[in-house]
Amino acid sequence: MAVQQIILRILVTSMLFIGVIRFNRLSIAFKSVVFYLLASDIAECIGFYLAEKQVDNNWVFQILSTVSVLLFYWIFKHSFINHRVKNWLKPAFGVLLTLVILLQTLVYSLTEFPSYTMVLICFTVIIFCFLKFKEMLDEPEGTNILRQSQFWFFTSMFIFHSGTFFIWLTDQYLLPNMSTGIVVYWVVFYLNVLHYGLIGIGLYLDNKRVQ
Amino acid sequence: MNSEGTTTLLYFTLAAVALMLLLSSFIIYFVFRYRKRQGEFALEKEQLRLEFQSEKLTAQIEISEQMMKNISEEIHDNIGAMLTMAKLQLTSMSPDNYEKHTSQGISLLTKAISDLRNLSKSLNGNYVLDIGLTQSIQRELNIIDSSGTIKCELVDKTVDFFIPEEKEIILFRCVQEALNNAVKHSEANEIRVSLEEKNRVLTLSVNDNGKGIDTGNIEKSIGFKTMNQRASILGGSFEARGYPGKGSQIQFLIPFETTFARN
Repeated sequence: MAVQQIILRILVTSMLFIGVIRFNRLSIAFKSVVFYLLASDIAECIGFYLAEKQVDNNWVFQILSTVSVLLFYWIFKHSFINHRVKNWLKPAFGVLLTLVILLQTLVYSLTEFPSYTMVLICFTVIIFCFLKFKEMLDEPEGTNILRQSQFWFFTSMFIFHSGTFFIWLTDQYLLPNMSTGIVVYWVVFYLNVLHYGLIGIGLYLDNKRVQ
Repeated sequence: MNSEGTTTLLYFTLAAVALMLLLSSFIIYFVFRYRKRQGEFALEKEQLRLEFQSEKLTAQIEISEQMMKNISEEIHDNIGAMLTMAKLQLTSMSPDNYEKHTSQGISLLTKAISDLRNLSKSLNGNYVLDIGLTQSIQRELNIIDSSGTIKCELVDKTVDFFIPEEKEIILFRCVQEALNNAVKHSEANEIRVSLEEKNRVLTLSVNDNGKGIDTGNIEKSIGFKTMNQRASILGGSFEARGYPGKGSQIQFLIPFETTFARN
C-alpha cells in the first residue's frame, strides 16, 4: 500500500473512530456524515484490496455512488432550514437516484468506472452547497461562521466535488491523452486529504456544539 | 516524457492551481460576506431594540398620565363630592337638626374614607402582588357589585400559573381600565370577567350587557389606546368588540411564552 493511501486511510479511520465514539452527541446531519465516512472507507479499502489483487474494482464505486446519493440526501435534509430548498431536495435527489440507477443498468457494465454518475452527483452536490451558503448568508443571527460545523462540512463538499468535476473534465475532454497520471494521483490525494480534514473539523465542532 | 507531455502536465497543474485558488477565493469571499451580513443584522437589531425602547417609554408615559387623570377624576367626582356634602351637612348644623346632620356627616365621611382606602388599594401595586391577580380582580368586582346596580361575575378556567410581578400589575391595570369603561359608559347591569388558557395563550375577557361600544371610534379613546399599549408591553394583543344593544367584549390575548410560566 502506498504511503499516501496509508495516510488517507489513517485520516478517515481516525475521523470515523471519533465519530463513532461521539456518535450520540452529534446532530442527525453529522450522524449521517459518520455513515458516509464509513461507506467511503469500506469502499476505498475494498477497492484498493481488489486493485492490489489485480481484480476489477469498479463495481465497488458503482455501489458507493448509489449509497452516496442516499446519504447526501439524508445529510442535506437535516442540514437545510429553508423549507423551499427542503421541498426541492426530494425531487432533485429522486431524479438523481433514477439517473444513477439508469446509468448503471443501461450504460455502464459492472467493470466500468461510473464517471457520468460521479459527475451528476458532483453537479447536484455543488448546487446544494451554493444553496446552503446562501441560506447561511440569510441567517438573521448566526454564530461565528468559522465555528459552525455545517460551514466546514459544506466547504469540504464544495471543494471536493468541484475538484472531482475538474479532474473528470480534464480527463474526458480537455486533456484526454495526457500523460499526467502521477500528477492526477497527487491532486486526488490532496483533494481527499482536504475533504476529510474539513469534515473532521466539522465533526469536532458539531460534537462541541451539541455538548 | 516528451515536450508535448510536459506542456500538458504544465497546463493541468496550472489549471488545478487556478481552480484551487478560485475555490479558496470563493470561500474567503463567502466568509467576509457572511461577517458583513451579520454586522448589518446586528445593526438592524440594535435599531429595532432602540425603537422598541422608545415606544415602550412613550407608552409608559401615556399610561402614567392616564392613571393620574383617573386618580384626579376619582378624587374630584367621588371623594371630593362626598367631602363637600359632609362639609355642607356640618356647616348647616343647628340645635334642631344636630343629630340628623351629624349622623349624615359621619356617614358621608365614613363612605369617603372607605372610597379613599379602596382607591389607595387599587393604585397600590404591592396590594395586587400580595393577593394575586385573580383575587385582585375579584376584589374590584366586589366593589362594583356592592353598588347594587351592576351584577359582577368572575370565571377563572386557568390552571395554576405564575406571572412575573411587573407583568401581573400591568395585566391588572388592563382589567381595571376595562371595568372602569364598562361602569362609566356601557349602561350595563351585568359584567363578567373570564380568564382562560387555550393553545398556550391566556385570554382575559371583560364582557358586559350594555349598549355596546362603538368600535369605529375606538382609536380616539385614550382608555382603549392605553389598554392596547399595555397589552403590547405584555407581548400580546387587545381586541374590543361592540354589539349594539347587546353588550361589549374587551379581550386581552397574552401568549404564554412571553409572559407566564407554570407554577
